Amino acid sequence: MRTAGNKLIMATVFLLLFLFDGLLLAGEEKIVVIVNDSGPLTEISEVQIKDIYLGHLQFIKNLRIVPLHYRESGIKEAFLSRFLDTTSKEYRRYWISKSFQDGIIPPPSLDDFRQINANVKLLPGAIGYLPEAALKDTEGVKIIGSAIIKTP
Amino acid sequence: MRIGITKKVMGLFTIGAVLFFMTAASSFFIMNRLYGMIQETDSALKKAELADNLRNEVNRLFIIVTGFLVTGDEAARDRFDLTINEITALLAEIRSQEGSERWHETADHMGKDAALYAEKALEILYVEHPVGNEKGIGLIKELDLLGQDILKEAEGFYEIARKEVEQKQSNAMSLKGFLTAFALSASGILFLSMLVSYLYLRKSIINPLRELHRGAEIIANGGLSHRLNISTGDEIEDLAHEFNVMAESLQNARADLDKKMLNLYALYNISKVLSSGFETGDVLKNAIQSLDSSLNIDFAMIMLVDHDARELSMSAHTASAGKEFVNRKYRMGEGIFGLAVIDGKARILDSLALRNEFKDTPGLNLDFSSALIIPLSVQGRTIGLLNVFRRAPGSFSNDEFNLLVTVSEHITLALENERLYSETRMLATTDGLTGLCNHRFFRIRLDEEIERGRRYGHPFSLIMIDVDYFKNYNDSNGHLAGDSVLREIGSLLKLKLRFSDLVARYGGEEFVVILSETDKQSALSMAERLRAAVQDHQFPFGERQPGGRLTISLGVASFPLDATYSDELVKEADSALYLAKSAGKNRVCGSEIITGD
Repeated sequence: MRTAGNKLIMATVFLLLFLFDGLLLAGEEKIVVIVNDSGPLTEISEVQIKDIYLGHLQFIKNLRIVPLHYRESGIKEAFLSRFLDTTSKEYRRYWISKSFQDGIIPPPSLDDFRQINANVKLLPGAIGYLPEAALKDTEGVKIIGSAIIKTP
Repeated sequence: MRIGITKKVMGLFTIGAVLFFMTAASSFFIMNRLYGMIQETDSALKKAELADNLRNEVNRLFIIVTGFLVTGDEAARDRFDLTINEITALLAEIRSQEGSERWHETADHMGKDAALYAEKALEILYVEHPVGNEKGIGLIKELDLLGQDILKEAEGFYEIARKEVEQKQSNAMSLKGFLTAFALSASGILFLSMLVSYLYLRKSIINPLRELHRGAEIIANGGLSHRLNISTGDEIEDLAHEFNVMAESLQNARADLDKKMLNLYALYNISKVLSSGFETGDVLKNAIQSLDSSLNIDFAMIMLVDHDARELSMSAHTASAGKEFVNRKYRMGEGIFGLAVIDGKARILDSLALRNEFKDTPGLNLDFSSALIIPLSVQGRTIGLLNVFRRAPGSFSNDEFNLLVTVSEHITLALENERLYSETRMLATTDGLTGLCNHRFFRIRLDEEIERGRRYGHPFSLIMIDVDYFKNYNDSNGHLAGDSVLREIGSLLKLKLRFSDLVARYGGEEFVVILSETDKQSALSMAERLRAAVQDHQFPFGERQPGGRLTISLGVASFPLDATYSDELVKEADSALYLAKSAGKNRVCGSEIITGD
């Protein structure tokens, strides 16, 4: 029963996870970093991912790189923590001085995983992240990295 | 200096083109400047707009963070990101604007302050349990203070931009003033140059053309003495010159024609005059008067050679005759006139005073300096001279000379006609042998006398004369001697009779005499005187006649005593003659009275 109850809870959690898009997370979740598979980003390293999101690396082979964030969330926090080793607050602080000083626009945030998925599929220089479960359209998209985050 | 019409027009065109290009170039520069100014004004306006936007975005940050403290919605962080993006873009754009040093300084300062503000706002966004958080509210107050500074700076920005806009506007105003001045002066210069061009064209082309047209019209309407005075130094002047030359030629030709016309008219007049009369004196006088009135001459005269071709004397002359000429006669070969008669040459004498011939021509008035001396010639024989004089030297043209030669021919013809007329008339009334009137003329005179006698009641008488034994004389001495005797008797009779009486040869050896205003008694005594005269005259071979003398018999009849008709009168006289013959010849018989031996 307990197992069955656990299973029921688990199923409910997954269902909720699926329904509420990770708002109510519990346990672990795998997020993936995706790029357009026709672009030059398919071979980049994790350090390069950091450089891209910090605005150090803006072009590869004359192609403008378009880094995409998911909106303020645990996923974004987890991505920043895993690949940039920072928090969203520090990341913002960094970009305030960086952008106000250098005039570089910080990577934009999108409200929807589907938007991220679609943008990466469309733009050769695009890079973004999303929960693996939310990756619906894998065609033209390549996963170049992943992270396991603990959901509270 | 000579400048053709093409050069004139091209010169004006060049000036016009230069002015046009200068105006166009200036307009281009001004338009460029205007465009630049519009762009500058645009950029200034844009700066002001950017400053305003920046202020708004900073304000938005404040609203976001205060909203976060009220709602605690973490989505505020995303909105924060968006605003940061906006501010970043605005700052980048503000920096990229061209502007003063102060502008860029302010921009840098603004960037730093905005960063500080954003960091402070970020602190608030990461406050735990944000709703109504005391720390957050404290931070908001700090942020507000910081915001005041930024807003002030943004105001400063705005002020700079606004001032820049004002500056540009005042520049635009001054440019507008300049543009107005430029437009006015350019229009003025264009207008002036057009005016000057028009005046120049008017002076150098239009007016001369008008003058030319007017002159041509005057000349075309017969004003041949009109001359064009155009000195434009171009084709028009050439044209005017040609016109003048043409007018001159026309005028000369016209004058020539007029002169010829006048001469022809004179000739016509003279011909008319010459053909109107048969009396020599009248003909010449009229011819001279015609010459005098038709040609402008000072003196004209006609001299005729006398019958025996020995002397030349004045026959007719104009009123202004030199007195010394009038009664002067010249011998053949004497002086210029005598010479002209001999050689028969017409001459033009230019300067009379210089001619040696005239020194030898007595009585010639040296007052005259030009003369035409034209012989009047008939079949190579010179019968006179036509002489024309003028005071001015060299004043006879060839035309006039030719005219006067023609006139002289007319005069000659008239003279010749007159001569032929006289001769013919004489032949018609004269007996060829004796030179007395002939039988025909006698009958005419007899009729006239009878007419006159009837009208006035005056008597007249008729004497019939017959030479006694004339057949005998002829037979003895030949017909030539007979003819000679008849001539001698005729002369004798004429000599003895009065001027008013008429003696005519009646036929053969008969003569007849009409005694005007003479009654029978006087006629008888006149007849007796005639008889005696013949009887006493010594005729050749007179001694061979019967009685040793040549005698005549005479019969007298008187009007109205014996007859009142001519035939009867002649018959009465004839009867009386017959009586005289019958009574023994050499006697006078009236109807019954017999005188003589």
